[in-house]
Amino acid sequence: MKTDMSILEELGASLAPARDDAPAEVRHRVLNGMRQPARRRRLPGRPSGVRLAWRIGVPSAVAAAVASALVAAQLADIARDQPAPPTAGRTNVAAPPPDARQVLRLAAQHAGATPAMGARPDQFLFIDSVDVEVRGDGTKGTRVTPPMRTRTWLSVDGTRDGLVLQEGGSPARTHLDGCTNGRQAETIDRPETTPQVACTPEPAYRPGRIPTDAAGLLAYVYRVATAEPEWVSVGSGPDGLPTGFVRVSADQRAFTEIAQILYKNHLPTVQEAAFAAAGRIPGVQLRREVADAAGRVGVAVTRTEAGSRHELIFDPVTYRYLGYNIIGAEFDPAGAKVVSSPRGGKGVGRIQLGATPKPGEVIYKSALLRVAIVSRAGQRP
Amino acid sequence: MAAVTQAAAGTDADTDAAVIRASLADPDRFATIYDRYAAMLYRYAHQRVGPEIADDVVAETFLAAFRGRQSYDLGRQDARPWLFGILTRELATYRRREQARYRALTRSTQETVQDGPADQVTARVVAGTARGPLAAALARLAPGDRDVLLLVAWGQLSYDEVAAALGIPPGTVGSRLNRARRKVRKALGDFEETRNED
Repeated sequence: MKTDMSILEELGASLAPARDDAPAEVRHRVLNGMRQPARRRRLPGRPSGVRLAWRIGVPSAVAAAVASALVAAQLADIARDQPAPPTAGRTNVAAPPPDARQVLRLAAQHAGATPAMGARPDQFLFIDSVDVEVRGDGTKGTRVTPPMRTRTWLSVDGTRDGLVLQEGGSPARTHLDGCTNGRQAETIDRPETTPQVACTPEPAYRPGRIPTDAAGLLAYVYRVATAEPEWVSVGSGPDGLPTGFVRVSADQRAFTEIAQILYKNHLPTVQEAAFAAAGRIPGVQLRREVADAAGRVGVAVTRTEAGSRHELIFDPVTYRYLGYNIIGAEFDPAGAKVVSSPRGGKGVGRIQLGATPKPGEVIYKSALLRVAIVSRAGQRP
Repeated sequence: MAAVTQAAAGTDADTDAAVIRASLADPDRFATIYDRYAAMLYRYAHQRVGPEIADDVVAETFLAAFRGRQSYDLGRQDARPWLFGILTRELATYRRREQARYRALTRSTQETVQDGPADQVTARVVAGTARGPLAAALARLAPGDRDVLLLVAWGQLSYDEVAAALGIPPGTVGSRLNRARRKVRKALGDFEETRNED
């Protein structure tokens, strides 16, 4: 008579896959995911900008954030001429110090007053920035990189192949596959060996699917927040894996999505709408004397949740956008709804794994130095 | 299975721990861990939750392992228990789907449950008659008991490896396994009495 275990093994054999290997598609997904260290996509579909941001803003970070910087000189005057308007419905004595919403309003005014650069669809937006990232140091724990000069070329209409060149400790050259005829390589760094997937072009300097009015853009980022929630891991089990996950609020997710938009599309109308929309997100705060990755000190509008503080930094005089920081913050999961697995949502799940940053530790910084329009990827203005 | 995956890796000289350590500085090295264990984990996931979910679960397992590799205990040369532990956690999300799968087997004892080449049919037929009551018993097991039973029977893990994978004492592995087997045997009991073979 057969033992229970041998019958069980027979049942197991009958349930086993026909092939000895895991499907090639799974390997592709894993290796692809390994190149997007701190975040992962669950579904193909929404895309290049997000993956681009991942690739560039490597660590548990969100995206690089950058903004329209040119023509700062003339805009200094504009900002100076328009003192912070009082908050609606509140009596605001005198003028100073502006609150977070006023800073964003001034930043929106600055962006709105920025003349659009002339750009043909086949040209490239050149972005010069300084980035700081957290990386694993090869043994354990993490280290913060020195500031790395980063030059990025993004297709004006989103259909051409872009490029990222990063200098510093580990120089990197990253090809960005454009969305050509509605198709692009699924991974950004090895386009020739990865399958093509459907895509929608994400223009870097033309109107795209991102609305150019504040209300529309606000609705857009909250739609993204619903469709692609972000999760933060908590605790650490015996295997070193998180013991649970907390879902980041829609407000926080919307705020971080705006940071991504500021990176992905530099059209002044988009930037203006993005700042104005950020001012309507509950929970934004003002923080003074915040240094960007290039060492410039500005005033920041921040939103803090689940262990990280996201900072949009502005010039304290002109309210020109200087850059984006992500800094570790206190996080007490008590009181938060902790679930064992972040599954259940659709679209993209985003997870932070690995060492939890301590309060005040740099997670990510990106300082915008300049943007310009050039004709070829790799060409300096 | 083990022979196949070890051969596929082509870097037998390196222990899993050595590869994981190297992957801290050079993340691409982690692909070796995938190549060593993907087939094994995929087979196990496929058995428990079927082909559609197995893809997801295995991919998520390796990505979670990759991201958690900094805290891998480099004193453990063999990463298999660690990976099965992560896989078990990923599978837990699909508990209802897994139970539904076993219940479906209960209802369709003699039917094939998957598409596959002809050589799979043999295995199917052998297990076919006992499948109904066995699958019903599996569906009813407590999740922790089922994990232990199937890690041993299908995952081919030793008691110690199961203990390491699940982060529980070896004694608990033994007691869970005994309880699970008792229930399985009871479910098979009625069936065995009417069966005249072996």
